[in-house]
Amino acid sequence: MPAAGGSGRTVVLWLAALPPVLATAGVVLFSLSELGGRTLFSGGEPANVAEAAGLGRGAEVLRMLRAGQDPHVVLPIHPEIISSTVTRASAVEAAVWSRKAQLVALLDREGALADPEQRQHVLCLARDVGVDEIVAYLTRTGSASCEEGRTLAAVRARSAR
Amino acid sequence: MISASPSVASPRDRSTRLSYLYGALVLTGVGYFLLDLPVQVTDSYGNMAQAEQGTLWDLTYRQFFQQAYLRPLLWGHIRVLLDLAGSSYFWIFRGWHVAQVALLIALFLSIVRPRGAAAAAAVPVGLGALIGMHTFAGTIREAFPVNTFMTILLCCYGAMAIALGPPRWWRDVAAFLLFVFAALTVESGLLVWVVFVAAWMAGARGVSRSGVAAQCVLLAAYFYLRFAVLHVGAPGLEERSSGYGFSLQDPSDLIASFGGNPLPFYAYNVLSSVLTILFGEPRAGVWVTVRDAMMRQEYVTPRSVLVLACTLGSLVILNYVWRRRREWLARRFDRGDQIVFVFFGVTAANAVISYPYTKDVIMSPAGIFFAAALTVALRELLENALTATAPRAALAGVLVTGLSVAWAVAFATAHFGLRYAAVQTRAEWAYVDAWLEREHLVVSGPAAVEMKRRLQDEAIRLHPMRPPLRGDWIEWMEAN
Repeated sequence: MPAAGGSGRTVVLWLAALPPVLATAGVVLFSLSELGGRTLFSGGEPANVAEAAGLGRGAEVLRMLRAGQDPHVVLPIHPEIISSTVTRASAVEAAVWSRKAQLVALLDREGALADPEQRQHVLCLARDVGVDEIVAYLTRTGSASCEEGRTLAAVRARSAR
Repeated sequence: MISASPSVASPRDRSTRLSYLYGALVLTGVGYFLLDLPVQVTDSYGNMAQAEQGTLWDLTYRQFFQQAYLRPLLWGHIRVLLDLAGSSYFWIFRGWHVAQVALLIALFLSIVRPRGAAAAAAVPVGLGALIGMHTFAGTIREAFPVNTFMTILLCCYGAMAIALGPPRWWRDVAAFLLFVFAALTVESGLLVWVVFVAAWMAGARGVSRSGVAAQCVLLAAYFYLRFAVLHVGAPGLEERSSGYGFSLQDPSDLIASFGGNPLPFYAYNVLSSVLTILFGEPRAGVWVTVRDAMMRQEYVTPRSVLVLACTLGSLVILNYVWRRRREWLARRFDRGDQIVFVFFGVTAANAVISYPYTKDVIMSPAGIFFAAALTVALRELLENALTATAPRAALAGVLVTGLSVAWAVAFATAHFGLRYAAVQTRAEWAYVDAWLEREHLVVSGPAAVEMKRRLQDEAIRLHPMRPPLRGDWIEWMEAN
């Protein structure tokens, strides 16, 4: 910024220009950092499809499914995503904790719940976790009974190993 | 009649180059965030599928016979880009959006023409207002898939650049073509006429007297064509929801309240539209900042910061008018005066055409002229502060700091708004089939199905989602 006049009053020019210039510099630095692979002020990307499902990120789940990740494979999940007691789950299980019925519907649409046994497993888990919206979605096509608490306990036990 | 002040008439200097360099830096940031935003589902995919049918001529011609809206060149614009895109929609449509913002920034700088240190110091605040203004958000956060509002902003700034230049015959021709293009793109394109007429009234002679007369004939021809020949009409109360008081009202509520006599509602919309430019409130007719403060005891919000930014900006502009009152009364306008004068004209006209319903983005033409007027007024305030007494300079320093910080926050907030929109848009693409079912929309024809598949693939796989941002201050900004 070129100075106009030699007096200390030119500071008023800096007072005007500096805040937006700093904001712009911040935005550009953020962009460069992200282009370099590090997104500032974020928790990072989900490591796998189960983490994406636990976070309720439909777009990421879809991308990973289309990239060939299996929604039924049990994967490690960061404790902050669901809870410290649920650190190993499949994507269809983790989707229950996202509490988003539309995500379960997306997995269903992609064929992840085509197997009746899988469907029943997710339904029982949704009942144990208490996500009525997902229970309502899955019982639209009929359901068998669940033993209360058993599915959730099994997922937790798997995480404790 | 026209007497340019030394600061704006002086040749290009280092400050000019710095200002353009800074403009490029601003574009880098905005462009990066814009390219993170995929083509939308709502308002984009349906329009694209519709625009792909028939020939360009058929598509454009059909639009002359719609009800309530006359926007044939909007559809032509989409179709041309579609033809250019082939099956690679992302780079053409998103790249076009970035190119439009680049052109807007270049036009802004060519209009305010920064010369000297004070002008160069005012430019960052002006660009902060240009990008950070709430009326601008709707021109970058969404697209249909071409953002029509952005197209009109370019036409309005283009008109101003033509009007401010030296008299040339080709400027009359350019003005003629610009009006036809803008008016047949969207209704707010008529503001191009306001820019030419207001600039001419303030002494800008880039367009000749006969060129301005041609603009008036074109305006009359537009209304004749719209109402007497094509019987397109105008949108009524039943078209959209609109804000009133402290909440958004559905069309049925509006008809119940104002169906018998809509004039008070129209007057409210016009007044709200003027106030939202000058004070950043109400937002789309709703007094959100007042509501937040009175009912939720929330005082420091992005919206209240914007209120501060707009209010201080308006104070600076009014201070400029007051200081220049003798020149204005004697009709001795310089380039800066012409910009500020056109700002008032565009704001008034923009508010009037917002009478059926008010929305932030509809006032975006007034918003970009606010940014230009603020840059001119701030430059003058800074020049005066350099030679003022110590107490006056200190007072100016306090005012300028508040103004500058508030616009810096609004500017940064605009980028976080883009990231938020990018996350939302990708979620829409993930659940697009469920959305189509819910809306009872059927994608018919292999071309439309393939287009949907391709757009979803671009949004989800080819240009995947960046990690959402976290933190209290991020959420604070995203609450805007």
